[in-house]
Formats: sequence, structure tokens, C-alpha cells
Amino acid sequence: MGEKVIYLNNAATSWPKPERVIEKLVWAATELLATPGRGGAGVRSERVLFEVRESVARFIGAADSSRIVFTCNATAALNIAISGLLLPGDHVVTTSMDHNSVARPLARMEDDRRVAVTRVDADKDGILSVESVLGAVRPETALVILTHASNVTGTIQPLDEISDGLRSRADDRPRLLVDAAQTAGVLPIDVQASGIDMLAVPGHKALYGPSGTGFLYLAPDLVLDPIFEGGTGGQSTLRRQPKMLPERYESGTPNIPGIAALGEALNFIGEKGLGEIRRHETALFDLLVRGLGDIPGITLFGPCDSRQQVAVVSFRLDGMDPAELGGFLEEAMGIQVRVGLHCSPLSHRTIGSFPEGTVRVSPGLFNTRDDIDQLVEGVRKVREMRSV
Amino acid sequence: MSELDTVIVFPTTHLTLGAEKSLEKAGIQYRTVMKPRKISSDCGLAIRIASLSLERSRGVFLADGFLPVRFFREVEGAWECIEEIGDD
Repeated sequence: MGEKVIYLNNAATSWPKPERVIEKLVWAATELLATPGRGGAGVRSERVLFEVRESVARFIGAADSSRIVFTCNATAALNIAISGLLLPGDHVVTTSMDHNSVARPLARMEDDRRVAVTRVDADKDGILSVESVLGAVRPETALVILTHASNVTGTIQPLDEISDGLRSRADDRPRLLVDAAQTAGVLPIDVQASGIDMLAVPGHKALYGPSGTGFLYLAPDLVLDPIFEGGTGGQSTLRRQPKMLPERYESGTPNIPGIAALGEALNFIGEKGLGEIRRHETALFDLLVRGLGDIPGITLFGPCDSRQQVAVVSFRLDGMDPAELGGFLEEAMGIQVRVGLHCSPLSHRTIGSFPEGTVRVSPGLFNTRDDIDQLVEGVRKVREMRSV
Repeated sequence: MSELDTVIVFPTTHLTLGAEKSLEKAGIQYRTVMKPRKISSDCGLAIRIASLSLERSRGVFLADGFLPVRFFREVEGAWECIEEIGDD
């Protein structure tokens, strides 16, 4: 970006990326010659993928790194999980805070009469009740899908309580799929301790990796139908896709530079520490909520409590289209936010901001208090101009 | 240096690289090579060890879960599978 920009759209894609991540990306694009698993020079690429897979496994508490499947983003991971697991006649419990990356695959399967879906409503702050989620589970429920934190309100859901409730169901326990698009890199996630069967994570948000990266974790006893099939390097004589992971779910040449850079991003996050990242973002969140809350005519969505939210704040200014406000902030002040429905119309219906949506502000690790002050000042100016 | 006369083949490169790490940790001498075509028409890697290390290597793979695995030795110019552990 050439001109001075105040970037407050980290919930979509974090920016800037740490310099070392960019350096790794360039290094891998320059030095890693060939497709992994296809012999010769590909061995170096394969070693890089192996090491990053190991880093990812450590990061989320997975015992076996072969259960980490690289994808191009969280949407791809969610599609592999949903389409690969569900069988005709299955029932799914999901929530009214889903992103379209969950809602749309389910809607297609629902329309095809392949699966039945129960969408549990969150309250107007986007908070789910544990009892409502557990109460929606039926004997034929194969899958419960939980968005760990909303991309619209930042609301953190009670993952461990829901997981504990599901685990207490013993043999007929449904699988738990967690969409960690807004939490991986901010909140600690341990797939074993939290009883997560499948975890979908983007590389380009709070992990500070490049776009085009992400992963899906699969629990050890879980077998999905692959939705992509093709060349896997090894086991080429098999007529069908191999059973062994990660190859079963990874066909074709992967994004080697991106994955190498994702590994460097994990190193960066590890050195920084999740506690420090969370503290920084929480301080900015509190400043933002206080600053916007003081402006007459502003409606803040969500609980406005950093203990219950990641650093995502949605708001509206009375009588003003969120798109108009966002446009002014960008054009007049170089402040980048995201307006509209954020690919999550269900969430906006839940919090009462459908169909116009909201202005969403999502600070990240590289934002400062000054960035937040300028945003608040910009919104105040718009409000004053409209009052004249 | 003892002759690395035994070839170890895993079905995936991921397992091969994991096994390589475990051998390193256990102090077992090894070399990573391309899979000999006479053993497998697949692309990918194999590991060579000395037959003296076979028992220890087997123990390492069983303990660390690097399965399935096949061990080959050259007998009169042909590669013979001398042991196979775990189901593919």
C-alpha cells in the first residue's frame, strides 16, 4: 500500500504481515523447486511441509501431525469437513452465528434432502446458550458445528462447555467441528483437551500467514470421504484415493511458498505469545468500545465486553448507511474497515442488523492506540457533519 | 561405516520423514534415498539402514507409531521383503 493507511480489517485478512513471513515466502518461492512427493528436488519442499505440519500440530495440541491437512483457507477446510463427513439421513446442529462457509454447504445438502439441520439461535449479542446447543442434539445427530468466535460481533462461544456436554453422551456422541477463523492466533486452542474432532483454521488472519493458506485438523479415528481426488505423489498405483493422511485429503501441488511462510508465521506467533497478543488486542478493543460508545447515535453490537469477545467490533451510526460511513472513512481518512454483511447474513439477522449490516472494525497486532483514536475521531466527524 | 543394506519403505513421505527423525533421535545410522524402482513404482523416499540396526529400528517405529512399514534386503540382485508390520 503506497499511501498512509490505517488498516482495521484484520478479521478479514491481517495486514501487514511480519517481515520474516514475507522473507520466508520469497525464499520458498525462489529456492524450493519442485512438487513435494514427486522425487528429486521435491524432497526439500517435502521437508518444509513436514516441519510446518509438525509446528501446526504443536500449536493446536494435536498428537499426530499427519492429521493436519493443508488447505487454501478455512472455507476449504470447512467444506472438506462438512461434505466429507455427512451421510444421507444425518442430522446437524449448527448456530445462527455461522459464516456462509458453513451455512452454504449445509443449505445445499439440506435442499438436496440429504441432511436435516437445526440452527440454534444465539441471543442479540451473539451469545449461544450451552443448553440450547446440547438440547438440539438428537440420536441421529452426526455433527455439531461451532463458530468459535463470530466474525461479526467477535463473540466467543462456550466451546469447552459444549464439548464437555457432547463428550458426556458417550457412544452416540456427534462429532464436533470448530471454525476457528477468528480465534486461532488469539486464543489458545487445544484440540485434545477441548475434544475437537475437526478444526478449521485460516492462515491469513490472526496467524499472520499469507493468503491462500489454512488447515484442517482431523481427530485420529475420523475418516472422511475426500472431496478432492487426484495425484498424491505416493501410492500412485492405487485406483482410488489413498487412505493414509495427509495424502487422502491433499491432491495436486500444494502452495509450498505459502505453507513455508505459514510456518514462519507460527514461529512469530509463538515468540510473541498468545497472551501478549490477546492483551494488546484487548486494550485496543476496550479503547474502541469506549470511544465509539461516547458518540451520540452510535449503536454497538455484541456484549461490549472484552472477556467475551475477540477484537471485532460492529457498529452503526443512526440514519447512515454503513457503506456510506465506511466509504467516508476510507476516502477521507485512509481508514480501512469492512462494511455490510461480512458473509454472515445469519449473524446479522441474529443481532438485528440485517439487511444493511454494520461497520466492522477489527484491530490486529500491528495497530496502535493512535489508529483507534483516529477511527473514533473520523466517526465523530461524520456524525457532526450530518448533524449540521 | 557399516553397510546400509536394508531398505525401509513407508507408504507416505510424511511417515518417512517422521521415521527419519525418530531414527536420528535414537542414534541409529541411516540414509534417506529415493525409493528403488525395483521395490516400488511410486515416487518418494525410502530409508536405508544397516541390517544390524533392524531390531532397534523396528522398536522405534512401533513405539512412535510409524506404521505400516516394510523392510527389504537385496538377495541375489533382487529386493526381497523380509518383514512387514501394520496394515496399509
